[in-house]
Amino acid sequence: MSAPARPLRLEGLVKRFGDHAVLEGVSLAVPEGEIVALLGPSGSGKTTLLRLVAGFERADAGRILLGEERIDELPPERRGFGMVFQHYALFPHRSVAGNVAFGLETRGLARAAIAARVEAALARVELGGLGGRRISEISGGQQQRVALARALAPEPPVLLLDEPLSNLDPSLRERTRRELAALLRALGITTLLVTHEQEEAFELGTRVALLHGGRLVQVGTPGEIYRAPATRFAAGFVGRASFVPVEVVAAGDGPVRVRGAGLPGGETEAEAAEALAVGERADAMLRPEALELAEPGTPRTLAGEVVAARFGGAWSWATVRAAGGLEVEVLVPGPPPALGAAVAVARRPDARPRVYRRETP
Amino acid sequence: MRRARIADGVVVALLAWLVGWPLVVVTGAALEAPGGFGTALAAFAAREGEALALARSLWISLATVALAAAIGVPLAFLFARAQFPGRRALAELVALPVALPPLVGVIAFLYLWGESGLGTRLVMAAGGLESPPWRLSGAGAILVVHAYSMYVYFYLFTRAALARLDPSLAEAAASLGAGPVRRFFRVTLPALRPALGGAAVLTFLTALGSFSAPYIFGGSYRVMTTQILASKQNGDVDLAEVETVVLTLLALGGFLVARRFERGEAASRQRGGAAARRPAPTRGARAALAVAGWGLALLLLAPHLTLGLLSLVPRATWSTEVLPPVLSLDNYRRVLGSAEALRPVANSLGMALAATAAALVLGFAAARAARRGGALGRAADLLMAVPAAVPATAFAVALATTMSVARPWQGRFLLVGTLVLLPLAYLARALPSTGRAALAGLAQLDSGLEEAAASLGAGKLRTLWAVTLPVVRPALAAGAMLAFLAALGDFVLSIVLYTFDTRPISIEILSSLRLQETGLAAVYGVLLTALSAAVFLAFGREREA
Repeated sequence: MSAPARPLRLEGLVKRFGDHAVLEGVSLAVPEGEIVALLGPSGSGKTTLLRLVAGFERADAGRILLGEERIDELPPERRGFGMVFQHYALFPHRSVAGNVAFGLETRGLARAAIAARVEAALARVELGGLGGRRISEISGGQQQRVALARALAPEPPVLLLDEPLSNLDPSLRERTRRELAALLRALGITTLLVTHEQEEAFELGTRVALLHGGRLVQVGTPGEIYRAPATRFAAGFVGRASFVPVEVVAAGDGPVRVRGAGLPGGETEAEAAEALAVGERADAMLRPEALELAEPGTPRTLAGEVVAARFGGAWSWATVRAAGGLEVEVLVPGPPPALGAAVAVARRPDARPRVYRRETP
Repeated sequence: MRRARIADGVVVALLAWLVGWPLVVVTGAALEAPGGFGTALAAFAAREGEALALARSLWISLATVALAAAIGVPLAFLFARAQFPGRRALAELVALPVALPPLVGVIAFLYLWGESGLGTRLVMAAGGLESPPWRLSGAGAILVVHAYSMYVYFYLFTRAALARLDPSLAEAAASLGAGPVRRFFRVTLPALRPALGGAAVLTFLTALGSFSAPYIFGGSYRVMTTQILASKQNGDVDLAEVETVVLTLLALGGFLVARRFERGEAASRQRGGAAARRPAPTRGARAALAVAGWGLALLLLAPHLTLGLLSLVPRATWSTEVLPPVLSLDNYRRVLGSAEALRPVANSLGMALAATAAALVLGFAAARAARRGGALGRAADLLMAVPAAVPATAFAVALATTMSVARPWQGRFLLVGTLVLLPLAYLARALPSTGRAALAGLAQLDSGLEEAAASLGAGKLRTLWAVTLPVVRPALAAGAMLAFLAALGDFVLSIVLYTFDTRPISIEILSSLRLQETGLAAVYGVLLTALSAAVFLAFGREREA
């Protein structure tokens, strides 16, 4: 349905508001037909990045290319991108169909052609027959789909989504997310999506671009980012993780060896996320599924007390506090242990921690 | 962006010329009075009549605030909180005087409670009295008429605030052990304070600038507004200018207070829940509420009903009888059947229409400039609000002073005595209504509607035409309605600036009265009321559509 998908390339984008640098040189390639999710905490610059691409803000440095064409000097109306706004920005004075028709009218299509394409666009988001409704007469979930249909109707080469699900009820969000993912993949449209929710980024994005403090931290598939977070921030922001203080005892080109009083399983080989020297203090990152509970007194375990527990059906999560206040989270099969129970935490034999340089406070 | 700023500069310059410059010129003229402004001011203060008029203006305005609150606030509670048959219709009807021209209200009051008024005759007949039990003149009459017409501000502000009030506040207080009295004084009333403050300032400013009531009922009891006109008509232009400056400064002081209140109110605005409307517990109480509601509404609307009745009384047919003996459509035939008699109606309609159209364009441009911010934006924001603060009499005198000489290089043109001056004055007075409305409408675009249009390929013009204007249209229509109604019924600017060729309805009402043509004056009053109500209702339908 869409115009031929084209790759989008961002090169060294810098944006300052006054003295405050919001983006400090972001380069990112979105190959044609790929869905890249910009993930980051609030204030990381992800919305600004999207607005630069849409043309609502001008970059202080850097270029934006669509295919081979440089577009960062075009006004937004000449870029031809479809955009879904966080609060939808539906025109209150137009009907559902009138909203969807807007972008087709600006392209000067004939009325009959517009009507047919509006109908098709509405059918695609399962709103067929609702074209005559007023915006105020439809539900929030339907408004979200009208916004999507409106952005897609002109068959843009690139689709931009700004927190497209953040205004929906949690119960509706999961279903909408699934439908949106299916639709985007079926359309094969080049998509840039902004979100602060990891689940959203992981389900919608074929690749995830992690932003922090105006810089790209890591770009990769959800699996890559989860398994091998590039920085300590990435490790903490994506997925659940415990950090245990360790000391580097051997280092070379490949893995390092680390040792620490709080490290379950004792001295071990670990992946180094960054270059580390022998004797350096570091943090070992352990996912909950890398740990398990053992009988108290088992050798080479971390003794502690259960201080928080979350029931999750077949699996549960337990937070264990060891001597010195160190807390680790453990994934346990079945129901969680009782609060206050004395336990020991062991490391699963196949689990290798990932080590980051200690951040000096 | 630069082109937009240049356009903003032009708008601000135009506003400054129309709104700010006359005030500067009249102040300058007052300063240049023989011996300087100090001497003029000293002379002003020394004259007994002047200081007295100033004192009277002040105390009448303060007393009006108290009286209007005493009527408007309980009325708002009655209609917002009680449940009785006819409540919804009456609640709207009671607010109607806000749309009716002040002069018509004053005349209607005269016809009802004046010395030979219908109500007065009824009271005399009922009590077997030889002479009227009261005389409708002086401070008392002005106050009664003020309270009668300005309760609407307190009524509307309080009703709106009650509708916004979160009912769970009172419920929370109840759950913490507060009884109904404590809830009212400790929770409800403090929550209404910003609205009451806003209504009080608006009422004060309106009363300070009020002209019709003191002009018709004051007689020798002069307040500042009537004093200015008297000075001007006596040919004492210097004194009129000093008086204008004094009154303007006083009003601007009140205006600055009002803006502070407004900010406070915006900050305390909360999400409204369903208003707690309790049906009265017993049948008797319900009946009592209904009687009170209907009775009050009838009392407040009685003057306008009287006006309708008196428009049917032919000339010289009603002398000493309690009720008019003859009713006919004779007066209507005399007005509607004569092109000459219809001239003022056509004048008012034409001038109001032209002024409103121009004020819409200028107000919208000023609002856009204001939203772009910066020094130009702040100037536009302030200038478009100023005419609301300056009493109309003062503004009219300032405009007349400025446009009485041909000095184009000073921005002064000889417009006194031309057809242009009165519509220009209407335009200036309309700016606060249309400008504020445009600002409110543009605020709705915050959610990125214009960006959405751009992302869909619409350029600047198309966005303005297909998105911005349709979205702000309801707000603009509301502003246009207020501006049109004010211009249509204007009396205060008109009496200073009219010429024979631009005489509006209000001036015709006044001259009919002077000729003892009470029936004709009533017909013009009814026509004005009907036109105003029609515009008001048409707008209501537009709002619902």
